[in-house]
This record gives sequence, structure tokens and C-alpha cells, in this order.
Amino acid sequence: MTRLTVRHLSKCSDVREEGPAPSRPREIVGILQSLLLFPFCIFGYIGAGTGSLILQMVIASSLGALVVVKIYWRRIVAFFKRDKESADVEE
Amino acid sequence: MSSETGIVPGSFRDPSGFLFRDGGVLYRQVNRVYQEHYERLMSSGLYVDLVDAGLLIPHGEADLAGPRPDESLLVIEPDVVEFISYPYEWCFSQLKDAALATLEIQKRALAHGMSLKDASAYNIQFVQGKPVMIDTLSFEKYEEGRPWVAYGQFCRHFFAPLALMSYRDIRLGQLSRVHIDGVPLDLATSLLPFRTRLRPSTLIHLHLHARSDTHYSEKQVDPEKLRGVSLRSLEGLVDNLSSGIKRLRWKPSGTEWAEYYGETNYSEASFEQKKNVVADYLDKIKPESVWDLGANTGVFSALAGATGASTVSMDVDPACVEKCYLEFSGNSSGDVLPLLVDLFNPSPAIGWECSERMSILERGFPQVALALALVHHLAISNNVPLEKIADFFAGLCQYLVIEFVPKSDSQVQWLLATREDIFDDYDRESFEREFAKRFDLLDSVDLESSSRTLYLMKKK
Repeated sequence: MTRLTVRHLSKCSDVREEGPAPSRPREIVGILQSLLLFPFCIFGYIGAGTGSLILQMVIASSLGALVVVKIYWRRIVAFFKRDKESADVEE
Repeated sequence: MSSETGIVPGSFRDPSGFLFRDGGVLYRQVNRVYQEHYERLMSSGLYVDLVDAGLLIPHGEADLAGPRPDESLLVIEPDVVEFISYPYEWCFSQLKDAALATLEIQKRALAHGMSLKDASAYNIQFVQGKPVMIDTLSFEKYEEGRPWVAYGQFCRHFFAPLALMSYRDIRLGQLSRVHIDGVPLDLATSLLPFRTRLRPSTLIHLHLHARSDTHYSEKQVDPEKLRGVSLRSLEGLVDNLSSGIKRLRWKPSGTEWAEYYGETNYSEASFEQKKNVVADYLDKIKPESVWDLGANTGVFSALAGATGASTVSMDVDPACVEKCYLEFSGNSSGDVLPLLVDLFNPSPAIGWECSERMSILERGFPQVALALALVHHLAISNNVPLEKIADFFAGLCQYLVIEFVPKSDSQVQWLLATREDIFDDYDRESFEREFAKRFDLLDSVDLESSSRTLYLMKKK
């Protein structure tokens, strides 16, 4: 299966593996950082899930493009249908 | 039942507000922290759009302070939902319709500069047979570039159980009862057949989603970096989810809907007689609420619904509930809510402090209970003594329409074929004696070409 981590995630360069226990000052900075950036303030009270958010970043633009294609395809079909219907009426 | 006054136990998670009862009326306190979003909901045209489309419960503003006035912006009074039901009690099409309604709401919200901040299946209820969002505070202002925060919840609450029911086994819908915040995606994907990896929507929203969840579960990501999803892309996501959900189907294997009717022990004449007798009883009582227990495909529930009674039709067979929903729910002739309920093991109270979601028996006291072709299943299949069956109904309803099915009946003979007959007391005399201790027996009718008897009883 395709891994989602490679080139799609250039915007998520801060992704890093859990390392050994941080030193005290780093821990404090980390806590302050998470207080400032904690997902609750940005991503609501339900806990959106990092994986869900990242997957959206990877797939959403393709799905958005798909919708545009769909809309134009429907318009083309509707155009030819209308054309055919008016031809039927003339007959 | 919920207490007449006080905060509703299941309403504590969202800091935007909560539900409470005052004098038996249900209200929702909107907290000040939600002001900006509430004002956007009301002023953007989204509220009117959703209410007009029957997708959001209407509300009025109430002249009340609310239980926590320090936090309160205002108090609203939503329209009454006759009966609260939960996703694990819905048939396949109910859950599918609830999912599509949630996506339609999100689509309209995006068009009005808002977004759903949660997509819990518990936020949807069935009113007049149609799925309606009951949580007015589920909307927030849309921020350009931000992904849909409720995407994961939507997939756990709707997509995963629907895919499992459709591709694997209809009974897997019951996983929602165990996992109150939806079926974990890694569990769902481990149960789904391989062919679901070949379909784009299930591949993306379930399999890749589960992989992504697992991969990032122990990684730290700067939330500020989790942006860059355009509005068009979000619309694409909602559209793709909607197409994927629409493609999911379920039909009981080896049967045609037209053939699906479990009750085979009646002649047409005696079935018509039974319908006439039940209709006559309902006409005399003119009930406001009816529960049809062991409703099969809901033929008698529809009779109750046609009288204008709020009717809940319960059966243990997912196919029966599905057929009932497709045929009778939202019918112009009456309101019937079909639910999947196993009377041998009815929906319990679940969640935090066992009070977040109510047990089925806490959710109402019907004026009339219909128990047609049911007693033999309770007494013989589940070994419940007649005394306890009578106790159950006496605690449940005011009027009881109940059918006694004697041992001589072929259905009972079939039940006894593979078990020892330890049911010495299972006869009409014992049945009448036990029920007469708790009910006044108002009427009884012997059904033609059958050894069965219908009773109308009123609780003493």
C-alpha cells in the first residue's frame, strides 16, 4: 500500500518520531509549545486526529479537482441532452 | 427517564453549550464562548436553509437564564423529538440516510462560510421518518485552508459501520454499541474484505485513513502546519464521501423484499381479522404513543401510525427493520420509527457514568404496547416465566394488546422441536391468571382458523 509520508507531506516537515525523554528545559519548552499550539484550540473539542487531518491534506486537492471535472462533465452531458431534446421536438 | 429538571447527562462534552430540562421542557443553553459561531449560523442564512430543507431541528429563543447564567449567552428551545434513538438501533438504510444528511448539512454549511465541528451519529434523530440534525451548536465558522475536523469522526460513526454492514455482515452495525465514538478504523479495515481496497472511496476513507491514523498516532505534528486544504478541496471531500456512501447497499441474501415476511402461520382471512381487531382496539384507545414489540415488517405499526400515534416499531431482525423503514417510515399516512431492538438483550445505558446514552426502557412509556406473536418467543425461546413477562409489560405501558400463542400452534411446536418441554405452566389459563394480577382484561378475540387469542388489557 502507498505510504502517505513521502512527498505528499512536504507541508508537514515538523513530523518527527518520538525520541528519548526530553531534558527538563526542553520539556518545559515543549509544554509551553503545546499549550500554545494544542490542537484543541485549532481543531475543536473532539480531537480531530492527526492522521485524519494529514490524509485530507494529501487527498483533498485531487478530490476537489474531481468535483470540478464532474461539474463540467454534467454540463457537457446536459448540453448534448438539451440539443437532442430540441431536435426531437423539431421532428 | 431523564429527570424533569436538570442538565441532560449526555450533554457535557461540547463547551459551546448543553441541554437541560426545566419543568419537563427541553432547552439548550448557548454559552458565550459560542457567540460568534451562533450569530454566524443565524445571520448567514444557514439556519433558515437547513430548517427549510428539514435537515436541522428548528428552535425558538427562550426567556430563561439557564442553569449556568455566568456562561450563558442565551437559551433556546428546540422542537420536540418524539423518540430518541441511537445508531446501533438503526437499520442499514437509516444509518445511510443519516450519513447522507450529515454530508448534505456540511455541504450547505461550507456554502455559508461554516463547517460542522462534529459529525457524531448521535446528533442525528429521525423526525417524521427523516434524519434531522438536533445539535444546533455543531457549527463553527469556516477558516480558509483548514481541514474538516470532523472527518475522522464521520468515518468512524458512519462510513466504517456502513461498509462493514454492506461488505461483511449486517450484524456488525452493533459495533457502534461497543464503540461509543464510532468504529475504530483499524478494526473496520481488519474486518473488511480485500475487494474494498479496490474501490476508491473505501480505499481512501477507510483503509488509507486507518493507515494514516496509525502512522501518526505517536508522532508530533505542528497543528499550524495542518492547513492548506482549499474550500474547493473540502467540497470535493464531502462529494466523494457522499458518492462512496451512496454506493453502499445491503439486501438480505437469498431473499427478495417482496418475499420477506416472517409470519407464515395465518390464513389471509385470519390475518385480516387480526388487523381489524388491532385497528379497532387502537381506535377505541386513541393513543398518543405506541410501541410495537416484535413488530416484524411493521404491518401493525403502520396501523398504529395511521391513527396519528407516535409509533416505535421494534424487531430483532435487521431485514424486517429495513423493510419497515423503506415501506412505512415517513409515510404520509403516519409516523413510524422502526428500530432494531433485541428484547432478550435490549439497548442498555452506555457511556460516561452509564448515563450518556439511555437504555431503551428509559426513553419513554408508551400508552399502548403491541405484543403480537411475541409471547411464545419470550416464554419458550428465552425461558422467561409468564409471571416475569407480565411484570415487564405492567412496568412498560398503560394499555396492552397481546396475542397468546398456545403450545398446539405450529410455531410453538417448531420452537419446542429442538428443546426439552420444561414449560408446564405455558397455557392459556396460566397466561390469563398472571396477566389478570396486573391488568384488567378488557376484551379477547379468538382468531379464526388458528388457536391464537388476542387480548386488550389495561394496567390496574
